[in-house]
Amino acid sequence: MSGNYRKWPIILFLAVLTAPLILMYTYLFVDTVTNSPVGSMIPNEFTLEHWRFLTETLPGRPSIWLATWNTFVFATITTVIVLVVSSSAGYALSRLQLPMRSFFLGGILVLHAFPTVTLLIAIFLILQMVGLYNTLSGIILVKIALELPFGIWIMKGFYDTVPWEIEMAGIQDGATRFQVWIKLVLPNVKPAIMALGIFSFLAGWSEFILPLVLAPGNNVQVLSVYLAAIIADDNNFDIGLFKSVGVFYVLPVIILFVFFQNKLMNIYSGGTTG
Amino acid sequence: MRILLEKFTKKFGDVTVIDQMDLEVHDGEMIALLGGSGCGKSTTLFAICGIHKVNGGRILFGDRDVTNVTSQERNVGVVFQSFALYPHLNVEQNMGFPLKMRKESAAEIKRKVDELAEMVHIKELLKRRPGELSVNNNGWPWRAP
Repeated sequence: MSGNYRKWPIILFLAVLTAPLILMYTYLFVDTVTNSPVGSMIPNEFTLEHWRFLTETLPGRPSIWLATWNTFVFATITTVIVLVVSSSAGYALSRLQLPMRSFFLGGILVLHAFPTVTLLIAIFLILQMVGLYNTLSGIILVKIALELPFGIWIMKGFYDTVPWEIEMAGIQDGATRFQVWIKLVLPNVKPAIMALGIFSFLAGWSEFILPLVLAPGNNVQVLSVYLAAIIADDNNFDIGLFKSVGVFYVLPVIILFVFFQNKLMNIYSGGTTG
Repeated sequence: MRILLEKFTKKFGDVTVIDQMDLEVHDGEMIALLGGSGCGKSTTLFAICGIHKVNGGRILFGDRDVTNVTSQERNVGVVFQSFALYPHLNVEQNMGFPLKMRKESAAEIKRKVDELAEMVHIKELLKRRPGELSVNNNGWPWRAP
């Protein structure tokens, strides 16, 4: 035995703590490919019927692939625009002498803390007025607006850690302010861009309230709304189907987490180490 | 070449850091600016090399007024206190960056960088990044170009 403390109590504690979660995830998956007799938790037959939504369109619902595509488009466009705007706005707030800079910084914090739900009715009315109700572009715009304060704040924090000397040296070397930003400063905040990108994508992928209220139509439906509609359907209640769609919905998120979990932690450290 | 500052003034916001400073440095002369922290030593140097804009007065290199000339066109070099190497570029790219900004050809940049690296004996360090250099090596890529 090495080390000056024993590991097994910690491992035991963590195991007890996570066991219910692991059990729930296991059952979530097992239930999608099996049937159990009524009143029992032990499955007695293997079936793929709960995954039928992949090949056939359920009555009254859009195709799962259309919903997946919509979710992907929604999350991706949101991510790209949030990244572009946050990385430039964060730089401006960190480095340039803007008029009303502190007002902007305060405003961003306030907006970040603002609960989305309270804005829903106003956003609904505005989207109807400008004709963007029930469109993907409408909810994308709203989602971007709500994600930006967080993104700008995070990027500003990272830019603050890049030494001024790098920019002075860049100017000295004959680069313009814009070139300094693109070629010298941006590469030094790459971890932040990676983390913010993943965060925005996950936020877009899991967004529910906005699409539910602002774009409920079948042709613009996203996966979260699709999933909610299945559990809300009292006439054809199918918990197996609901779980399968749930697993299908969560798979990309799990994959992203497995590959990028180290990068995600960067966003809380706020530095360029590593 | 003579360097001349005439009534050089620098403000940051409402604060006047340097008020009407006169300074003359003759050709070949070596000058040290001494003073407490925040008294404007670096500010003066940054104004001479064109990183800071001037709020008043003139700066002359020889007879040439460079007050409003860009940093690159002044053709001066600075060694920053903290070296200010670009951490994401290797030594070769660090040395070549000013030449790249002057839009010199890749072959020409390579030739000049190799020549200078040879001169200061850092050829074997060219592919390393600043983080992989020892403290003694850190200043070299800057002095080279």
